[in-house]
Amino acid sequence: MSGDHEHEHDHDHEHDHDHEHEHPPGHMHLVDPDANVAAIVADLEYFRRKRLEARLLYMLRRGYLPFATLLKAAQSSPAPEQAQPESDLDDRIKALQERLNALVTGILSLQVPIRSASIAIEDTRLERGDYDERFRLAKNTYPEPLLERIAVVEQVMLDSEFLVATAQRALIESGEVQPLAFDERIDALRSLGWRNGARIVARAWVDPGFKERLITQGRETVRELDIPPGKLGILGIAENTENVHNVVVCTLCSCYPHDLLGNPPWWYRTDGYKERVISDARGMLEEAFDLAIPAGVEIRVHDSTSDVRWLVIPQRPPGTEGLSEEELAQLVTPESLVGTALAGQAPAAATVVARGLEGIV
Amino acid sequence: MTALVETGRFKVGDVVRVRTSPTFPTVNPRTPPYALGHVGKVIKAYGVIVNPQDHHQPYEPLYTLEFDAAQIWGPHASHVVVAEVHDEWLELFAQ
Repeated sequence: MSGDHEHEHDHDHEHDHDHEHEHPPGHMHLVDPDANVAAIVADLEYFRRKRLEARLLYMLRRGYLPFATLLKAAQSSPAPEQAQPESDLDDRIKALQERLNALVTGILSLQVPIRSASIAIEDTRLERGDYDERFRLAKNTYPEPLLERIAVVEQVMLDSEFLVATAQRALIESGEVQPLAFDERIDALRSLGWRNGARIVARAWVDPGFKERLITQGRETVRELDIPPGKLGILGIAENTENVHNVVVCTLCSCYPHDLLGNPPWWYRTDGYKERVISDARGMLEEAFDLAIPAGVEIRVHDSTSDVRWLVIPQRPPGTEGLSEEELAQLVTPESLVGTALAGQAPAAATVVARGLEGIV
Repeated sequence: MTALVETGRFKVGDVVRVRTSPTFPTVNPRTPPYALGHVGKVIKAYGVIVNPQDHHQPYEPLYTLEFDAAQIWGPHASHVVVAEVHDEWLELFAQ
């Protein structure tokens, strides 16, 4: 039977996670170092296993990136060395969060087209074992004591950085990828992000014609805002009203309009979120996201597929009549774009979310 | 790319059951497991979505279905599940 692949229990997912990809690390206070490190581990392992190594294995298996090409590329660049870690624990963790952000961008840059073949996302899903557990890549183990754990994270980070750099070099040197393609892709990836969604929502609030076109004509409409629309299937639009509250999930993997909005919030990929929100949306929103939806309001949970990826238009908060479109966009959060928070409302703290997910991941 | 080319066997308003296996061997290997055997209503019909960045061969025509969550998870579930399911996983339940 298909579909069993989503029951992959990532036990390291249930913790706090403050490394929102766009928040300047200097502005955070790490109240819970253990939870922050657990969140880094969760993301690092997800992107390493499911995006980086699975893709390289696909290219290896098909002969697009042979071992020898990779080894030669590794030999022609100096082996990286770990920088001296910061002595302050908070600084050391924040440095890891910054490195993780850069690493994730590098990993995603490896999705540039190669000369020999067209590789679709589905190819990577097969390669990483979404449909067959035997293909799953082993997880690294991380020791419990915090400092030892951090040291292993730093090593895995370094190894993955080296692998990304080597793969990029190998693909360029073998002629599979044009020399500037990775830099161009990284620039493009940096321009993506949930703030595109905030601008789309703010325009929809002030311009009913735009909202109508967005709902009926789809993603091409965002060109009106000079936002590149992406082309990953259909962009589903779910509009919240006083009678309906929409939430988005992808129970089968982690489909999200990432070609428009960048990466989803960290918990979006956790089994805890997927399993609970689809079966008990009202309880989940209240317990994990501090969001009580009144009994008279219907909750609609949209389960994304690769062909239809959903975006929530949250309700415009009351009392915002005088605000400009730019000011309205400031009220939109990544959480409100998937329906786990209202616009204009501070989203639940990551520790609260983690508590709500605990015990079910 | 999202050109819609082929319409499927069902139309908006049809009440359909999600099959426990597809009607024929399919290149699309998945449908949400919780929906298998359950009855939902077609609220949108997309036809075939051409989406080569995600998968090389187009999948069968796609629909958005609406399910009463209580029917699947029991009375404590007070929400509606909106899920996309492809044509080969569906059969007509009533009209």
